[in-house]
Amino acid sequence: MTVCEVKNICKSFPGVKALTDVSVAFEKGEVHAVVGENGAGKSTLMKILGGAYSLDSGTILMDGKEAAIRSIPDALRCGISVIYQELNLMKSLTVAENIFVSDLPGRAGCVNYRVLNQRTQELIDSLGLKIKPSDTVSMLSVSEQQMVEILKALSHNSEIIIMDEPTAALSTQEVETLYGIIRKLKADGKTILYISHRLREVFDLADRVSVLRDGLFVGTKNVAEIDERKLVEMMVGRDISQMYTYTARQLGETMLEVEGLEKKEAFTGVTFSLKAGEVVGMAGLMGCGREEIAKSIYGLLRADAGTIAVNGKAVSIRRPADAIKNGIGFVTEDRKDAGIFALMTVRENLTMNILRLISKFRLISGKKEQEVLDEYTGRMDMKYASENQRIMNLSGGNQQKFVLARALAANCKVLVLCEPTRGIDVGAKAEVYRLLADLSRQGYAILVISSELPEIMSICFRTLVVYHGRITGNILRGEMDENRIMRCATGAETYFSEGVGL
Amino acid sequence: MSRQAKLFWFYWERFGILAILALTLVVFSIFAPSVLSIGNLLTVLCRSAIVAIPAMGMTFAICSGGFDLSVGSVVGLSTCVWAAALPTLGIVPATVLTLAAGALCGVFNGLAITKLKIATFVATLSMSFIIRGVALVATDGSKQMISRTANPEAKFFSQNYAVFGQQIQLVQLLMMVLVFLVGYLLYRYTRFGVYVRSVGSHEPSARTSGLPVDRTLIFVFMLTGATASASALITSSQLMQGAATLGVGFELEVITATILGGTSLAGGKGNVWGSLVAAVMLALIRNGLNLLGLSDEYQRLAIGLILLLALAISGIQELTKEARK
Repeated sequence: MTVCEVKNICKSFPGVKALTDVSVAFEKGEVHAVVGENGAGKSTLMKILGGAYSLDSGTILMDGKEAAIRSIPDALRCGISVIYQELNLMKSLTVAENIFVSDLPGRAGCVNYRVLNQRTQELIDSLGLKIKPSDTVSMLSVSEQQMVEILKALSHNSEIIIMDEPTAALSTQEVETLYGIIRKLKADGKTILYISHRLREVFDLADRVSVLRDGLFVGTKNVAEIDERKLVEMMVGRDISQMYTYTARQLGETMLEVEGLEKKEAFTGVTFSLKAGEVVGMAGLMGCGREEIAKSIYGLLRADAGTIAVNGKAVSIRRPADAIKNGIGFVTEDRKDAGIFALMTVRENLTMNILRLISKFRLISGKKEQEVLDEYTGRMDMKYASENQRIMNLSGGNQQKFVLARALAANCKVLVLCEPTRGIDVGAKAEVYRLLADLSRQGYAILVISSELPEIMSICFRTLVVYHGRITGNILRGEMDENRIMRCATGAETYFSEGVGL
Repeated sequence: MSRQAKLFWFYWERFGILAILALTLVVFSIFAPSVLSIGNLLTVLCRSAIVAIPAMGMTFAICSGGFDLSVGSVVGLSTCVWAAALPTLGIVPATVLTLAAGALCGVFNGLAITKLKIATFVATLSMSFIIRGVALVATDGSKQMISRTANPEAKFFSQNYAVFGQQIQLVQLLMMVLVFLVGYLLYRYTRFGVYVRSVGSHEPSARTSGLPVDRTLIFVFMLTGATASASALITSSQLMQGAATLGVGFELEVITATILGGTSLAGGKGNVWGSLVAAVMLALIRNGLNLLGLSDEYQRLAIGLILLLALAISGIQELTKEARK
């Protein structure tokens, strides 16, 4: 039974046609994935359904009747709730207050907390969760906060719950919990619209999948009748089986040696090395200590013990400036908050670390700055309107290239990359992979910390696996398989390929 | 964070200011035992009303994510209104008028913030100049003296009453108690209280949840305005005058009390009783240092150091939260 249908929806923003003549139907009780590259229009579609945007033309039908959705309260009344990636919670309020804030029980301006907490408890019990109505939201984990959003949707009796990249900030175990909840909601007859970049999740979870590309509707398929390659092809409009690009290459001298690195309560006895031309993965579950290892190498955290050597020379790294000076570059997983300077221009973002080199008498030379920008634009093919464009207005993929280029411009030959393709779309991912391959051929040594196993398996020469702060695997390309990596990552076994030193 | 650490911060947020108050008492009991006499303590308690009452309003303002820099100017204006209205209108209408004037200033603050979309810092800063300017122009810069013979009732707010053999300024004490009871009920049990915390916690969410954000903010600033006027009544009654120049810098003292009391500058979290305790503590420190013969400069120094210390301790909490990530 069709619960919601959009017909011929169009939406433009100044200069951009975000959606053109899009029609999709959603069935009652299905998990319906919506995929597409960044800018394909899926967020716009969701925001229209959720009432955050109004549509230019077209109709939305709920249960066959036309629904006028002009605002968020309209959408809630029609039974549509959206759970955005940036959760919309008031963190210093309790769970119960958050859920019922627009409909607090009580008389004469007073809140009846007994009724409020009781109602909330009923909702919590209906999903079998462990949170309490009186918990302050800021004390909950991200996944629990997400559950509060889901409860909020249930409190509005929403028939359709839209989730925008719900797993982006969750650990593997938390993703499982979320899956369980989604299946439960589905069994209760709720319709889930699931937006995700992680195609794996589409196949794990969804019944059907709709694809958008450049604001156009490409098609809806039963998940059972389609494979990942076909889906990607629908998303990017071309066959990109060539997307993953590891090719054998000559390895050079050892560039980075880490020995006995230790940080209390995070990791211990971490020893490994990187050679020129090598792309090495670092896999592990959330919280296993891989981010901390990466940050310690770059000086964002201070290790308690251990040595780091670059090009055979021991170096002391106490802060990021030391790392850069010694040729270690870093790309953070948190691009928005810790990677880019959102309000500054692309040029300034690029030259941030080399101002001394492009200055004369302590004054920054615009000409030299432009030269650097031109050089890296040539090498890495960033797309931007002008050198004075604010970096926040670029796509995630282009921002990431600038963050990477900043490290290259500072003459870093060892690159430590945390989740280098997080939040960027399939097409841009392929470009980043190609770029990494190019860099490794030019003799850079690259460490890729990634939660996406397919990514590690496709671009890395070998991978390290971290479990509970220890390295439990060092697996060569030929011996990499997902099961083996997962067994090492969960501590079920250790595996060290023969013939390669750590 | 370990369980013990969590518990510590849980209690620190709620009762930390009580601990500091106790510490202050201990220190004075050693260096200036006369501070601890019942008579002196009662006097300090009553006097603290002048800062405590507007600190209640300020608690809501800071909890809503802003703060009100116009409190001092509202005090100046209110003393003038009261002193001018008293001889002709009588004490009850004059008092109502004064409170209304304070609330009206708050309405203007609220409108500037919600309708003109000016940041609270700038909006209330501009308003503080405007309000004091209005008061100065209206009074021509001169003091409005209240005659002791013509209007003896003007002493109402600062009169001494004998209670259990002690002379205390009962009316302002009762005002303070009343204001804080109302404030606590508003904060803890009403829809308005939840809305204020919602707005301070994350305004966009409050808007998407369909809450009356603008109305809430306007009411918050009416509250700071009216409580500032209430404080002005006491001041004016003590000095038997109104002057546009009264209350310069007073807002900082009020904000200090509120922050010391545990209301988070980040918004969303208020501590009504904390503001009261902090205001009493500030009065106690001033009183104690006075008795030790240390002048106003030293009192300011001490208050600054205590504020810095209290915020540093909260800073440590933020750091441990970061580490947990």
